[in-house]
Amino acid sequence: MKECVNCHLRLRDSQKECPFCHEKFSSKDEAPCYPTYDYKKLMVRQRIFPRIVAFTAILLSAASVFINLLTWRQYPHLWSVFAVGGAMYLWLTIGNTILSKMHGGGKIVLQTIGLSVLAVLVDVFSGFHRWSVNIVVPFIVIAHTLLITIIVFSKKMRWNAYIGYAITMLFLCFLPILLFAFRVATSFWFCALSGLYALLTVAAMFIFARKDLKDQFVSRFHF
Amino acid sequence: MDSWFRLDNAAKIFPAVTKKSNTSVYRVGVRLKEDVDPRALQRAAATALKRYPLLAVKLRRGVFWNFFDKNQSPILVSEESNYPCAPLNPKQNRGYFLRVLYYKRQVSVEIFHALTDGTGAIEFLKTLLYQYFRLKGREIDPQGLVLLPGQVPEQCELDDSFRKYYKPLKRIKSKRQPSFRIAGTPLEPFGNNIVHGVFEAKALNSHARKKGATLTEYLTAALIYAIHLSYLQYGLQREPVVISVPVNLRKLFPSKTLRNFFAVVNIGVITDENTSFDTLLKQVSRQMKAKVNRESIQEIISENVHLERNYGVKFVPLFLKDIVLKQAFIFQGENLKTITISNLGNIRFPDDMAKEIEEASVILYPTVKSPVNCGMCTFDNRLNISFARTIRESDMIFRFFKLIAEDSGLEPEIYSNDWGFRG
Repeated sequence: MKECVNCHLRLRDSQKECPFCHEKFSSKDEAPCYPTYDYKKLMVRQRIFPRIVAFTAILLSAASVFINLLTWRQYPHLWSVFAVGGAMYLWLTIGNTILSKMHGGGKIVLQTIGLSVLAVLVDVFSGFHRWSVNIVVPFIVIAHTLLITIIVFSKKMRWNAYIGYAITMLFLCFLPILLFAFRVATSFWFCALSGLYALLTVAAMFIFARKDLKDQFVSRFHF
Repeated sequence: MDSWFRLDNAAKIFPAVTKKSNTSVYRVGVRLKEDVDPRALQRAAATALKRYPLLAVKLRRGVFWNFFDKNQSPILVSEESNYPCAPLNPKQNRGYFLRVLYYKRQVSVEIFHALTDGTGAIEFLKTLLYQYFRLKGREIDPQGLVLLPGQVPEQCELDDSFRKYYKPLKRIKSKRQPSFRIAGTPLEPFGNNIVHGVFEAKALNSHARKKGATLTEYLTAALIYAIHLSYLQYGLQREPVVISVPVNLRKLFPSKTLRNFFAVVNIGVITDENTSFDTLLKQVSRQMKAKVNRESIQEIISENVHLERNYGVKFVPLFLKDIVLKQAFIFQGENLKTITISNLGNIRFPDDMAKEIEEASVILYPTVKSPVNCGMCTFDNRLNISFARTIRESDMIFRFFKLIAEDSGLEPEIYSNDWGFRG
């Protein structure tokens, strides 16, 4: 034991300095209680590339809106919406789907939403022929639900991690039917196909993994 | 046994409010008499964890509440390299919300508070060390003080005791005054600086008794006085100094749960130039006796569980609950307290284990609005008081140790991790 001459407190022999006045001492060989910290190694390095992607997306969007407004008299059309939509989708794809450490299931759900929003945006601002809500959105949700169900069944070990996202996708499959019910979509068959696909997926999960599915529903929806 | 678990009443707030500056991770640890064998500790951790199904879990988001899902991955014991109570990133920790660390002679367990409270953490530490010493070839008589690794957990260990002791009571709305809050210069780099002070426990306890107080009351009063001397004596603030004291409810409401089962009582005093330590001690003792009893704590339990059982709350989606919980944490918790002092009491190990252990310690994470917090425990007549802080200023801690030393005549043994100052 040693004493700090400034603070008059007894310090453990392993102390290299007084924790109050920071007077330095030589320490004895006693095993230190804490490691010597390597601050550089411990600091989480901020990843620069996702920031570059985010800034590029904002820059492209701002530039296209700016040019669109400046050239409005010569070309009175909101073309910048496509550029902004495209830039945002690229941001999502590079910044989230490719670069982020988010769970794969979450990435699929976000891609479903991103692609659907982009399709609807392009459709609405190019005359709204309803190809997005009639065909593209049902197709996207079916394809992504199929993808996530394949993952759920092939990665049995990671069932619990993916099943929540699978349930989310199943809810999204019923979205086209809602769009049809509210007369946003006009093609009954494609919308119904999406709903039917969801029901069949639920049935398959129920038959092949009844206990797991029940547990997951109960845990996810407990209140 | 279920494959998933609900969060207990106290646990529900932690996932919503956790961030880098409020990690909700606390540490219990022991210093052994010889260097730790990492391989044996790794094997011991894997075996001990099987005895604690509520610790071997992943946290998942449900629609209305979070829940715990079984974690099948093997736990990884690692050498300590970061500051105590650093954020727990489950992605870098095989999904676990606890860490088992070693450094030289030190074994530490860091646990996310949603999993369990200090009592549960100490039980796990005991089982871990029991298994470790056995793997090292020691003969250990558990003396009924350790939950043995091979045992099947009892259902009552997994119960949410808050629900068991909930009684619908008429709610009394009390006006809560914002408290004095400690502010300072953030440490660079950000992290927790720990200062420990080790006292002779029996002597300090009998000194507190002579003054008509329990050890916790004595130390709480000392802390309030140290805050008064450091910040309020010559300052402009006139808010009360409020010390949050977590109370282990198992002592008041019979329970064997290994989940969270604690309540927080706030001890508040407005100090002025006439305040002395002895008058403070009397006020603290009086408040503590009035607040730490079955009737008063029953009100706290009922109020907390009442909210959880409310149908208007139950069916609110989780992302909205998170927003409300964050606000409630700030306005009903953080803004009303100055500092937390948590005394885990006397830790009893079986004799065969105790002779291998030099000292025990507990470290409580600081928060944004409470940048200094205090944890303590006693083992083998050594009371280890640990201050964890995220600010450079240490005057209050210095005054606290000095005050006790001068008042009781007992000299503390000081040591620190020196985070933010050395290296």
